[in-house]
Amino acid sequence: MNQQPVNQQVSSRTVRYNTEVAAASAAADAARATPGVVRLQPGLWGLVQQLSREMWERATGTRYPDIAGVEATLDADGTAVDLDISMVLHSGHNATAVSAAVQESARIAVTALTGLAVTTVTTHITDIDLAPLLA
Amino acid sequence: MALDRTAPAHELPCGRHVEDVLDELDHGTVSGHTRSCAHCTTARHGIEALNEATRILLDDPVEPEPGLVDRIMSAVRVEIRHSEGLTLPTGADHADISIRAVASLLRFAADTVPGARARHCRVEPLPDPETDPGAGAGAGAGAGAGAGAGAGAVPAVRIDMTLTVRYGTPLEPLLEQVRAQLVAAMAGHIGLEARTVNLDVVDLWDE
Repeated sequence: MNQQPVNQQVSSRTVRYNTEVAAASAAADAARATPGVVRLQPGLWGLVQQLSREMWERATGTRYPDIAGVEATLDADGTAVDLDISMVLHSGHNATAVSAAVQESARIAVTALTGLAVTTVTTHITDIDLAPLLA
Repeated sequence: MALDRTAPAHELPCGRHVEDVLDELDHGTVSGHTRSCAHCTTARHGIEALNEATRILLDDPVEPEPGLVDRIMSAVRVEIRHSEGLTLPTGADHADISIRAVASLLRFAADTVPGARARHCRVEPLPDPETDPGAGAGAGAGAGAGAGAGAGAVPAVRIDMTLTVRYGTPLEPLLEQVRAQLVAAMAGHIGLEARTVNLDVVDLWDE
């Protein structure tokens, strides 16, 4: 079996991780900029990662991209990525239209900023912000 | 700090291990090799940065932020709601919306009708008659059938809602208003067709 030296394996994993973070960051920025998206919404594991990043920023002063609510998974070749985006919808917008807009803008942004092909963009609306209707 | 030498070591390109550099730092003795080797120097700087970050975090008397509980509860709700979504017709890629979020919107829509207050709301996707021919027979036969599904029609859902009604309010026009609000909310806010709307008045209230 052809085994890479440990340091090369670590380096390869680091490159993959950094690429996934770059793709997730581009997708998150694009999603947040889409009209009708109130905010991105991480699940439990995403929240743990977000809190860890906030601690890291506080300790080191180094800014880390806010990618909570977005998961980017590179394929085996490292040339294409699957995106999974969870978000909260503004009640004044149509859920289907906003989801389609997020899928399109995330796809364009990730390819433009990272050069990666985007295989799928899955979106989840986890909640609707009813506050504007109540006002 | 004692190291577990049974765990796999992290080898550096120079042939030494990160653990060797860590040992030297722990003992406060830096070898000639470590001083002159670029790989060991990089590893040493990385460990020192990690030590410094750890010390800052340990010394930081941070209080939990005020919104932390809300953030945790929102994340918990996401985990629960991920398993129960309505598929949205966005095209090739999958998109869904939490059924509970849709039910909240529908209860709000029903409450806008004077004299009506929504209680429970259940939303279920209806099978597509084109892909499931046996499923279309009963579709549209509910109390509030919307526009019929045709070629390229948006996915349809069934809504079951219980209501309380103000005593003395004429029931039939009120239910028609509620039904119209629910159909409009599903189409306008979600992008799905409320093909069947079942309303059940379970109580009366007096002002």
